Amino acid sequence: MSSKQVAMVIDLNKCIGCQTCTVACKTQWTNKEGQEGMYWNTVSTAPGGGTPKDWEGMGGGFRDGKAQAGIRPKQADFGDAWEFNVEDVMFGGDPNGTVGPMEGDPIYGTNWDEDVGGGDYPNSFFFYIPRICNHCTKPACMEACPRGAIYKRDEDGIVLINEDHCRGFRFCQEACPYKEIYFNQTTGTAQKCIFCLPRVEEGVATACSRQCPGRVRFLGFLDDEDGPIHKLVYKHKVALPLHPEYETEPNVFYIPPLAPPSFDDEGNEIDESRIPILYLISLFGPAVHDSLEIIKHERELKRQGGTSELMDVLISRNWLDLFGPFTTQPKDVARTLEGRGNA
Amino acid sequence: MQSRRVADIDSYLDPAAAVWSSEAANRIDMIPAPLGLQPTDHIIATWENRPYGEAEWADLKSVHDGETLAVHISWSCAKISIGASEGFPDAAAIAFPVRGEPILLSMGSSDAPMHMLQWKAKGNETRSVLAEGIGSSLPGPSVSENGKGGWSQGIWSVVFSRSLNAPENASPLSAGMTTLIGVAVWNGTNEERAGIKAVSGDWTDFILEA
Amino acid sequence: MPEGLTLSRRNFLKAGAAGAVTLAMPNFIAREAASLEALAAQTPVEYTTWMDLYRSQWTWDRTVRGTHLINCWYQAHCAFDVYVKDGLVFREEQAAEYEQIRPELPDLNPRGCQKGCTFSHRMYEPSRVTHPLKRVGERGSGEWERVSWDEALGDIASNFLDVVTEEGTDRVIWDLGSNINIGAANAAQARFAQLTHSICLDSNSNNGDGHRGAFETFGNIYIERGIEDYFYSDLILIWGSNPLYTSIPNAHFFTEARYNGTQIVAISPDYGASAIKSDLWVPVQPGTDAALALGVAREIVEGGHVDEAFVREQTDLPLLVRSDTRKLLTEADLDGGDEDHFIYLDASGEFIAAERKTLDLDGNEPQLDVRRTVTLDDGSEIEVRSVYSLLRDRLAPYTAEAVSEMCGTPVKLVRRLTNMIIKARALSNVSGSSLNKYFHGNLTERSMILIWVLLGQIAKPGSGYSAFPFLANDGWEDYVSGLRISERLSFGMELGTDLLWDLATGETAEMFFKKMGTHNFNDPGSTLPIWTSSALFWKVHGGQEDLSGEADKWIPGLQQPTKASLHQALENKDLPLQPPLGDDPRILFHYCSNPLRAVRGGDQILNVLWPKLRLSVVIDFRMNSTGQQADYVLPAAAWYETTDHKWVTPLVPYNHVTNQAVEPLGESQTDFWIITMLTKHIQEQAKERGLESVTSHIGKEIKLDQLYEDMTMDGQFTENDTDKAAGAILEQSSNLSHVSWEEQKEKGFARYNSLGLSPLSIGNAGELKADEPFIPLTNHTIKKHPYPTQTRRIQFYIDHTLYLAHDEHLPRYKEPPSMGGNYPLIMTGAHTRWSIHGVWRDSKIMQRLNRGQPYMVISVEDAESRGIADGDWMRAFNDVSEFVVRAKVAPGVQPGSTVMHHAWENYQFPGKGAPRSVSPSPVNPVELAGDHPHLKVGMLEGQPGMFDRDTRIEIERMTQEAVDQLRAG
Repeated sequence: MSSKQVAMVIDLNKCIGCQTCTVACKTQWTNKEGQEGMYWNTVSTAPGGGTPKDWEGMGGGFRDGKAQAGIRPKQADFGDAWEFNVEDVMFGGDPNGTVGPMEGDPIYGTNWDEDVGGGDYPNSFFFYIPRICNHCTKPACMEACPRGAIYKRDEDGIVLINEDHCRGFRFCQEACPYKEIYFNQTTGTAQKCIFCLPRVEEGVATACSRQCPGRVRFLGFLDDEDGPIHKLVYKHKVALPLHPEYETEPNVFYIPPLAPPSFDDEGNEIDESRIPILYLISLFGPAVHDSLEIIKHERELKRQGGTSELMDVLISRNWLDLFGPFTTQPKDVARTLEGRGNA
Repeated sequence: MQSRRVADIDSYLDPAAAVWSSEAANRIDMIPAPLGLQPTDHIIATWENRPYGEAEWADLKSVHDGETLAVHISWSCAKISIGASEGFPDAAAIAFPVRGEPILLSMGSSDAPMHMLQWKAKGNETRSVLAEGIGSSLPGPSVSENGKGGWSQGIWSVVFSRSLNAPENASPLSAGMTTLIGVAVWNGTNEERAGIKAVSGDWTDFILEA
Repeated sequence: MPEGLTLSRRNFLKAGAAGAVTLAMPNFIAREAASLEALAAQTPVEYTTWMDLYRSQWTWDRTVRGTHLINCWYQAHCAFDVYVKDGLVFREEQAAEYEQIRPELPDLNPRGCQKGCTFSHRMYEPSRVTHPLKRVGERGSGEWERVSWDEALGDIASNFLDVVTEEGTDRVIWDLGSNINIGAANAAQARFAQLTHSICLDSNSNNGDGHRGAFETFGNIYIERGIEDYFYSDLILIWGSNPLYTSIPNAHFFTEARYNGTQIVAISPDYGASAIKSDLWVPVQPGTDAALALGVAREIVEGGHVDEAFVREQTDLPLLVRSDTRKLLTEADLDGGDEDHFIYLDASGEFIAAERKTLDLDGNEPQLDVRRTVTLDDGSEIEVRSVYSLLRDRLAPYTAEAVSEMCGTPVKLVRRLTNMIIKARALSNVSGSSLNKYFHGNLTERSMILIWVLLGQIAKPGSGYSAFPFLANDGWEDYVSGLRISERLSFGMELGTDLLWDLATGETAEMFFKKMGTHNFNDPGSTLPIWTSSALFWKVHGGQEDLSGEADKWIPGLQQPTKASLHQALENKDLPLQPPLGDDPRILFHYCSNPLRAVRGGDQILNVLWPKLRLSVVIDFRMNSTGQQADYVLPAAAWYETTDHKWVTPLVPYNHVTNQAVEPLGESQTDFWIITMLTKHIQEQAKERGLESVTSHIGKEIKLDQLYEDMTMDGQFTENDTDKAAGAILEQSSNLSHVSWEEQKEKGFARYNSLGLSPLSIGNAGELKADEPFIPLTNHTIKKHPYPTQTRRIQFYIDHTLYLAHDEHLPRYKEPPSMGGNYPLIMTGAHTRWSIHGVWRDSKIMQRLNRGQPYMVISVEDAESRGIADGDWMRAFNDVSEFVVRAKVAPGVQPGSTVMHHAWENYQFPGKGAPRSVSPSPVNPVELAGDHPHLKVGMLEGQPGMFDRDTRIEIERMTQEAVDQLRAG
């Protein structure tokens, strides 16, 4: 456990599934050879296959404190990085050709199940769930690495893979129950979300957070009582870790999703929310029930003209309030390594 | 076992070279690297009910010319894996003590490190590695290390070569010297890597002909 | 830090050491980058730790403020920092410096979407055009030759001179696509068109975004609020829109308003992305929304919830209608007075001619529910009824039970929705342009507006009906007029005398400037570019009308064939078309447009129009479906390679600026350069030919031998002056000149300080203030300015012959016609999340985040009954055509309907067809009523639309082998 722990709260009621976070991360960190099929940040439609496909059945993590065996996800599970025959069709060679993935018709991709979800019409349901490395307090990846190449920074709890030390054994991929680690075939190393360390160490919010048009992500230190994280996780107890039963103690938390009611053929309401509570409990644990009740209660307070600190935090009228101490604008930091002085 | 002194060491650098057939093979018994010595709980949990290190033997041959050492190792491996895309490659390693009396199964210690040459079927990559205990391996000093492998009909044959002269932190070797050798092989098809391997249970005497 | 960090770098660093140019970018693009030579010469950086390699990915040479000059409409626009390293743009990130306008309201930050955040990659994809390309094989053969700009522009100029001298200036057409930025780029295009009297196509009609119902009701489609205003709403109806896809940077206002206590109801056939954020989702069958709206309206009337004071003052509901002719009763009918003065019965019992100059009733109290007899000027006695009285009868059948039958919506949901609407303190809607694309979309929109109007939920904080958003500078017209900019003090002042006259006769500035918009289409004396409806153009000149004519059999109640109606309207000049029927277009400039992808039923235009063309010239930064069939493809600078600005909407009323971050790639040039240089070539060749001028089709002398001087205003704005021209336009603008161009470039955005006078904005009719969200129509509700309609009121009764003949004089519900034949599935459409128009449709980074190939979303039930599984290939077909697409099976899709997201390029479908192929998109005859006092063609409004949402299809599974065979040709 680190002296301080940086954390993120992701509000699923605000997430619009646009994947701007995904591309923000992609263009910032994973745009080099060997990283084509790599998404340190994903947004999946739940329920659905997710990324990698059916990752929740792949094991890893801990049970009763004991490390669990796990399956190593393959690129095909994440979805291959398709290349397209654009040049042939556009500029000669094959003017009547069909532009599409050159590897053949795809059968899975990182966002394959977008907007599909579950249930039966008209009471179908779905929501979006963005995921990054959870920078766990008890990282299963770190425990699993025979090389000690994975470490947790004392100053902020960010979990990093030392890529000089990594030998590409990929036990971490098996051990991580969230399957948030990728393998770079070009470098032969495991790679994953670095919590935008080069940004964060200069006080700039992570790319996925700062670039999120839905204003979904809150940042800060867990123990900062004035920050949004502490308020949402500890004070109001509405932000919950994903799959707490994996026992890695994630430091990414979620505001669970509301949904419109389900109804019968005559229009009588069946359930206040169409997302089955048992499904939500399977994701966020039994605490999800109270979390949703608190959110609904506070929202009703606002509707009646009252005040609610919780709602105000979730709204964050001033965008920068989302980011705790990480409010520096990128243009205000040095643009060279030398200029940063801490390289 | 003995490393015979020869004049034309270059003709021994190919594992399939005919000259090797006249060299006597030293059969080393191999065992799975003990589960209890695996460095992490996760690895133990993953492999406790899963077979690995099933290569039962490795045949060793060696020659040197006073400057360069060549070690020929062959072992049984039913299915080849060159570690394409996401696969793990078949691999082999030979180890020598650097100083002290390192324990082979625990990969030495800081007082008694061991030096290894590791070859991988992926691109015939051969690396010099220094180990001071399980999970500690670091790039070792350059000893002009080289490796070449060939697979045929269920048998891998690999020739390691290196200079006898060794800088600090490599096992010192010289003609006439007696040292120890250890062996490990990995079955890539079975996703063996790191400590999941077949290993010679202990050192074998290794004598370089004067 | 753990051990090992100081060890040697290994492959990891080797792979990264070459820096930004190893980004996943085609070699040919990298080769084009100007500074790559310098880059190659430089020593790779030595990194000391593996983390430094990551740190190095967050270094840059410089940033500039940029945006994307694309019509993403509802979500426009976003200020970005564009990051440049080694002569290439390598990423962008939102600038996010918008200030909160009020502490109680969320700010706008960070504004951006996944498309904008990857344009740096998009501009360097293999579809990028880097050199002028000339077709050398047959059209569509894919055989291109790289030619110089001189050769390309010289040849185009030569053809241009041939065409304008032999056949007329109106044979040269500008099809305007995404580059209509109302900045420098399309100022050059428009000025060229004005100086040469070539024709500009108004693409809004082809897009089907005409919001006809709003036009019929308000006389104006430009009605939109500031996005923050939703925070004041009590109830937001997401109806006919999908803001989670199409308003990504704005969407947080909806989710945050919910936390503030606002309720959201989503009304749509499918449980889709926006529905999941609602408090109530109301399913309707596609195209039946009008019935639902009328059901709500009926309950408002019958339940006594009408805001009577509001409708008395603001609407035509008190006006009287003659029972004999079904026309509105006029002063002329009663006492020989004015024909355009309409009559209501006052509470005093007097018949009063409604005031046209103001909505102020001046103490009168028009009666709403009137049915009585009246003696006419000729002594005859007839029955008259108020519009309200007629409307109440009209609404009577729409009981909750009946509506439930028509819409497939459970009856208790109809009631629940109705109650929520009636109880709402402040009711708003989220506008989209989906319902317009149903054949009876106008009826739907009129019916919806009825709800807001009856409840008086108009022009108050958080309350009001949004139709179509547009906000533009008003200096652009000055630039594009044929005059020197210095000769025009301002667009309004030049016409000051006329304006005063109009105001004296009761017209408002709004009406005046909107009328100026209609001049672009109608007035031969105009100093504005000549516009024509794109939908009309493609129908008539592109032969699309023959295809849509076949659809007549699917439209019940037609009085005569739609083609005959259309030609009659052309003949009567109810609808202006340039060039006129029979005069074939010869040169078609596709100005960042893509009709071969976009025109519904558009396979036809390749067959009918292309053979008539001497030249099809695509000006774009990327190759597309139309480029494949072009004669020239001219490489335009991408949006980070030019300095310019872009119109927006009242939702986010900030002018947005893009600065040139890098040189245009390869030989590409700014639009401004390309078009200005074309005038130079035309002038040079005209001189060589000894040609001074030609007379345009409307009688103006077009001076060919001084075209370049006229274009550049005697060298004031040469081809290299994009930046200067962009600035001059703003300096000439009444609503953006308060912030200097230099400051706008530095900051990247500036808030408008008024709606200005552009015909594209003024209809919003409100005050744009610095510290409050914009609220439209307050000029009418507070200042009592009359509406630009026939009756000068919000008008639900349209007494035009065509409306009467089709029983559309009042809102009603009509079943969607079975367009395409008797097939079981209705193919609804929607905007995609993954592209703006086609621009990102084949972007690799976007494709990898959806399915990499076109798919149609179908219901579980329809998939199962046809043996179709998710991911299967399908043939979709009807009597019109067919196309091949993959299936995506989603439980949120309503059985009996499918969702086909738009903007896939033709070449992404195996075989020949595409979704537009099966949509005949016929003319709706009421849209030909261009002779009605307020239904004249205008900028983006009053033109026949395009309809694809009623399309009926069947689908069947295709084997992989069959698809492979199709692709093999």
